[in-house]
Amino acid sequence: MITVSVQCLGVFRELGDYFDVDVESRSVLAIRNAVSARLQKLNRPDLEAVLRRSIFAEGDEFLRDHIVIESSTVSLLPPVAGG
Amino acid sequence: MDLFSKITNDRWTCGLTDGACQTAGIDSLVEDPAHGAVAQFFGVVRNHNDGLIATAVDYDVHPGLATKALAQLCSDICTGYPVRLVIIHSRGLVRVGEASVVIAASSAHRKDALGAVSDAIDQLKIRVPIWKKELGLSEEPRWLDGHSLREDKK
Repeated sequence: MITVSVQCLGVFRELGDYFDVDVESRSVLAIRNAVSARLQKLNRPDLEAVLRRSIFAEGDEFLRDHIVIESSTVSLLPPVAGG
Repeated sequence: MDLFSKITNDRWTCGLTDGACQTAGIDSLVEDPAHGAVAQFFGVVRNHNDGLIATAVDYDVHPGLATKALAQLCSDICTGYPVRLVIIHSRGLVRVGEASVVIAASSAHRKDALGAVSDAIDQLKIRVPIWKKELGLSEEPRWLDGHSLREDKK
């Protein structure tokens, strides 16, 4: 298993600034599924719904779900609301 | 205005500042002797939202992605309009009456400057990784919903 650190932004800050998930591969889909499982365990269906509309990023690059990341840290970006 | 993150070139400037944006003098950043029009937009925190009293908004930002998205937005706007453009957005606490975003554009004639500013704020709201947590008098702070970048990039 690989440990990936997830940086929380926006509403996900309710979970802290970072949390770790253990995944079998560094694919974004695997990380998304691990985050979803964590939210289920925390009984946060509200954040699960937000997760489905959220995108991951590595550094300054957005990540589609089929991408395999190189590092061990991703950012979790909920729907944006600037202005 | 102190910007903790900034990208600039000969046509446009974008950046992020901690706390409220200064509005005075923003037009000087788009000065051009060939331009006869300057349009400005200030996004100001208001004292109500969805029927609740608001006292401030706390803006969360991914600095790298937000600055990159602002730069791409400036580039796109300047491709569509012959303008000089500046866009600055806040990070952190902005109180009611203070500006959280300032945009200015100058052009030879007014239509381009007005169009550029209008498109810039519309696009900023759906493209730039910034989030707002609204603070009220008695309710718990609440994160406001927004536009999904995941759905855009499918």
